[in-house]
Amino acid sequence: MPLSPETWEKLQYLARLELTPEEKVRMERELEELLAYVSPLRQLPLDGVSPMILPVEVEPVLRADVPEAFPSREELLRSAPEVQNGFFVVPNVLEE
Amino acid sequence: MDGFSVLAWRSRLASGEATPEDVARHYLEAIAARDPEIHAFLLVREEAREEARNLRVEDRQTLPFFGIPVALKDNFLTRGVRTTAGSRILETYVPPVDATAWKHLALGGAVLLGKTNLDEFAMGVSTETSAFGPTRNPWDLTRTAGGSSGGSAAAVAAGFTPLALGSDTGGSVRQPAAYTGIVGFKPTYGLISRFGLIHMAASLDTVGVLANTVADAAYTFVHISGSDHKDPTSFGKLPPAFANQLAEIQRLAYPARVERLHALLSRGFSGVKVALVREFLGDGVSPDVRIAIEAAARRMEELGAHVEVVSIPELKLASAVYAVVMTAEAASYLGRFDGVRFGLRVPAGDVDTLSTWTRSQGFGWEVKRRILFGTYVTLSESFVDLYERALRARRFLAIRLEALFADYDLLLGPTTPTTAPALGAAGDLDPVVELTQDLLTIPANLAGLPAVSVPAGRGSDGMPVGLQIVGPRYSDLDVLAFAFSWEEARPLEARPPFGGKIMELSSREGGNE
Repeated sequence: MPLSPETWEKLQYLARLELTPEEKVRMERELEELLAYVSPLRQLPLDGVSPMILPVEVEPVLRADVPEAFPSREELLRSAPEVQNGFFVVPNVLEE
Repeated sequence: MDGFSVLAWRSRLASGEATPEDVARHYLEAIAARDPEIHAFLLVREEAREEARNLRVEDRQTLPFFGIPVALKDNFLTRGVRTTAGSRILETYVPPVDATAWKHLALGGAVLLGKTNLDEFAMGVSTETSAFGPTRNPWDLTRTAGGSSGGSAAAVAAGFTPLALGSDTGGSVRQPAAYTGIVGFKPTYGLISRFGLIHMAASLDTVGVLANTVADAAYTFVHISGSDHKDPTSFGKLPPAFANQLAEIQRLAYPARVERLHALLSRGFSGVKVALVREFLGDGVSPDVRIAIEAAARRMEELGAHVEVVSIPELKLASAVYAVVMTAEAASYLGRFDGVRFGLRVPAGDVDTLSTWTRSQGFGWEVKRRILFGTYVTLSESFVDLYERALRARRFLAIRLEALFADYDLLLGPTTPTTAPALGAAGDLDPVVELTQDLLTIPANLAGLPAVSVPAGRGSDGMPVGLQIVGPRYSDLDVLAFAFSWEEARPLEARPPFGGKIMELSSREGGNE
């Protein structure tokens, strides 16, 4: 099933990935190969079978909904690409 | 080989016969001598020696991992120690926290030797998608050590560490363990916290243990398992009998704990009902592997196991289910790599372009393919036909497996269809090749089942063959006990000759002193 140009644009936008024209040709072929690989799933008799999201159905462990201060803010910020006064810096997102 | 197991070191360290510094030095020297050709490590910590020296001698009896060196797959966060996940996008990332599984070992007295190579974000079967080059198989440097925990497996097999942790999403601990002739154990989903593990697919990922012996794997598993409020899928409520067994082993102080563990594992084969799964021995499985596994099954039968061949034709679809579920979850998880809070940034005039350029330059091909496919299967127009169908097929397969466990205690088969392929034969050449290599390990992840790979023999190429044992949920100790019995019972020619390599290194070390 070939991907329409609109679907292809949407995919790249949602995934925030940009491919060169050559990469796109290769990627499209590989995605189609994967789609062919998963198509036999349509043969399974799945009527009445509910989706399985987690493999173990037990009550998940939830921590108390209490804010915790992160022990070291400095360490947390150390790996950020750009920091100013303890904040992450990004390009301007507001209209002038 | 047993002399270099965790438990053997444990006993020498507890008695004072060996010091933590001796042990750290032994392994650091082994790494320095041979890792340049194997490339198991992305980072080696010379500091391990000093840290080993600084352990308090009065703790040697009571700390369960006192002075035991550990290597961690480089997708475990280590506070203050660079963690890359094998990706350019995290090339300079230094985490502010420790992964819980590692923290358990560190509090137990373990020493961090280094971080091991992996496929980028654990996506691959050969470490060839690592941004930092592949790991080679210590048995034959022209072959892959497997993946994605290939660095951890090679490090144990080469005698660079007695113990390593990995992560297993579709077979990433068991498959490299099989290729390198060691033990790789993946527990029931949810038993070991994944806090601090860089995920691939959250509903499939488990922390796994790579070691030389089953007893070492069991000892480590028992120690690092347990509920963690930082991982909502690390469950508090376990079947009472299993919970009691675990708690008892966890509570007992050394050396009673080891003895109790041995007693639990030494059960033999008598009366165990085993299903040899026909689909695990079918198309694509090499004659070498089939012969080794069938011979193992016959030996178990001689020793009292009840082995029957069963068929679950639908298991062939497991990797198709996996391809959809895994990529959907991976695409969602990897959304956090946006060039803002950590890792690489490729500057641009606006945030969207900044993220797009950063991700396009920072991620490798395999990762991009999985993100795009995972995004595709969750588009509103394909959601029901692909993603939801795969989730339903997942339950369908899980129910089929569960039904089998009504009649059989364990499932048996090879871990991988072939012995370790040549480097360059897998990698990112073909999106479907890796799915076929993980074909036999994926079902356990889909259904959350415990599974272990243990060496079963060697192929005609001289390379190790892994035997896979899978049990129902929470049968972790039964699975390990069966593997332990096999380890004791297997014929001499099925025992991996690691000893040779390790002894060679240690005698050279001895010669230097």
